[in-house]
Amino acid sequence: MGGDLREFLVNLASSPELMAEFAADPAGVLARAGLSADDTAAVLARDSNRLRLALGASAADHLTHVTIVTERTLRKRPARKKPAAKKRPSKKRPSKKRPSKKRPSKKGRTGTKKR
Amino acid sequence: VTDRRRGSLVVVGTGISLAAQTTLETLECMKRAEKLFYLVTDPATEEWIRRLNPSAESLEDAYAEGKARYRTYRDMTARIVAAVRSGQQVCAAFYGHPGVFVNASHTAIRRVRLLGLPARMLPGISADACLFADLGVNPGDVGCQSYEATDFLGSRRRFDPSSALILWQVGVLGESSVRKGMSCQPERLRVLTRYLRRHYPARHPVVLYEAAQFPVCDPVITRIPLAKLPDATVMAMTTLYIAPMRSRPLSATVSRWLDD
Repeated sequence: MGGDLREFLVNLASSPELMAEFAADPAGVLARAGLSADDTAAVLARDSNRLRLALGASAADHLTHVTIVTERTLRKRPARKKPAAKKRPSKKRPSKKRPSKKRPSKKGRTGTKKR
Repeated sequence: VTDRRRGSLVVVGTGISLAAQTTLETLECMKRAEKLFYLVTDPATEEWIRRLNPSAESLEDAYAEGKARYRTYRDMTARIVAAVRSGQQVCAAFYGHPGVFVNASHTAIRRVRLLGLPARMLPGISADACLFADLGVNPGDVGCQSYEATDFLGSRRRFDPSSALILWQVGVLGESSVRKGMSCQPERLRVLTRYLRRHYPARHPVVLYEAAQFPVCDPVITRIPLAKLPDATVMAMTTLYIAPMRSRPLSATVSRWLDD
């Protein structure tokens, strides 16, 4: 029975004498406690999870800490929007029409050539 | 009428193992409190606490499947603070160490102090204290880093693999609420393993550890290579211990100091 097991464990944990007795003769102490066969097996298994189940421990896990991921996410900064790509003024330089370096035509040159 | 001057809060830890890991100072506080709140993991410890103090009231009903845990802890805090405000000498007992991985204890103390009322915390035995004892780890040898698993992975914590690493709450990696029989979702365990594999070789030893919760029990110690971690079942109460890699050489300066 869960209740008996509970009481047995509390008595055991609270009494160093009983604990010493249990260490020396577990079967004898368990027989005296009058636990059910299942509970006796759970104690002898020395397995915390099995004992918790035998005690009818709530299956919900008793966690006491949560990473504040939730709050962080709740307070999440608004996603940075990439600034709209500014239309840069086109790098095209105003086409400066260089004054054409018109070379004087050969004709002219020749024409001016003074021989 | 609220007697604000009289109310006080002491937050204590009952240790991991039933009754045996509660300090004498903690025991006295639990017995003497006008109002005792508690949060423990099994009915035997509840029975023991109720024997200590008939005013004992569990905070367990603040949990609910699907309810965000930060809301659960906020509700716990509110109940504790309300009792202090009503003028009572309040003791809040949490399993383990009340300041190690317990949100509600720290918040309650801060809020009570903001009211101008006395609040303090007593140390307790936490899961890592049990781990050091059971695994024979001395954090003074090469140091020991300790992270909550979701925070570790989510924030991509920078750590030193030449020092020991403890990851808490791997079983609830990325979980914001509670479910029945929670264990780490395999795909999340794979992501964690991948992250760890950047720093450790596949064969590097890791330990899945659970401290004994009853004096008649043994701790659960499962040693596996890191590569096998995704195949493991990691429960909510399991702590992951990763052994340190080879130590880094001592700096020449400190080496000279030690020689002197």
